[in-house]
Amino acid sequence: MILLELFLVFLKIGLFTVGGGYAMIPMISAETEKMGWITFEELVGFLAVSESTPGPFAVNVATYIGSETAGLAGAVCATVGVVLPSFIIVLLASAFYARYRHNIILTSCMSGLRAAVAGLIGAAALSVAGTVFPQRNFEMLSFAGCALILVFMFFLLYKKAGAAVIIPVSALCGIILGFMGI
Amino acid sequence: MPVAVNCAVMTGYRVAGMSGAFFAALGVVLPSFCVIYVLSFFLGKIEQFTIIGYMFRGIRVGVLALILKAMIDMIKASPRNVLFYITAAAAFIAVAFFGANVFAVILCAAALSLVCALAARKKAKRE
Repeated sequence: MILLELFLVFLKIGLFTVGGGYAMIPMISAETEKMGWITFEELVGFLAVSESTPGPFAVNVATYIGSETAGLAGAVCATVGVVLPSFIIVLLASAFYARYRHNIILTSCMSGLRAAVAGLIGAAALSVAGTVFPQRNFEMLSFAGCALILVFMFFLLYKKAGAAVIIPVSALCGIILGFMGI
Repeated sequence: MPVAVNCAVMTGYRVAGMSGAFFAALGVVLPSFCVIYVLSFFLGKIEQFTIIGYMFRGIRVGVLALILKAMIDMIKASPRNVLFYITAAAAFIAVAFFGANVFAVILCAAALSLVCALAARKKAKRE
């Protein structure tokens, strides 16, 4: 039954994602492609949309996929699923935080998780790069793409730019380059 | 786990217990839920415009930059020891080139880290 599937899949995603939005991409794309709910291209496009809307990416994606797959009920099930693990775990953490903070089991697992997430984000970056640079031979598009990436990274890392700036700017660049015939 | 949700739940719980946590979570989720739900009806329609296609092409580049930054931030926030780099590299290769199950990778990484930490503690106790 699709509503249950939506709930369970997003429950799983909400439970295992550490490190926020972008780290979820490998998980979300794996799970949703398996269920046939959304293609990777659409997911990347939606990622951009969610940057311009309120709320965390995880919630946005759950709402969107839920809505596309099964209407309002689907949206609700998916969103509740992705939020529930956070809700429960943070409640438990609030109660036990002081006692188990320095527990070696907890801290070592968290370090391992963070390392894995760094690798996973890298994998996500590779997949997205595949959609940005689809052609194998070098063309204007690839040069423009590389140049833009370098510029954006500079502003992100050294000028404290945020997604709020980068997304509109990149959208504009896309439009300009498109009309220039690149 | 979305940071916004975590903060809302924690604060809500402190201020008003379980129901506080519940309503805080509801509050943080509801706006984006409504916006996205409404948006989902229009997203399909606007894709046919060429200008939107150009826009998304550009946005994909911006998104790639943001993802790379997220990775760099994650690396910066962790102790940069050998175990970290090995685990991160292994996770990357497993998922990017072998299509490994992401949940399995995460569990293995946590287990590996746990084993190493416990082994290091045993070693320290012996000395």
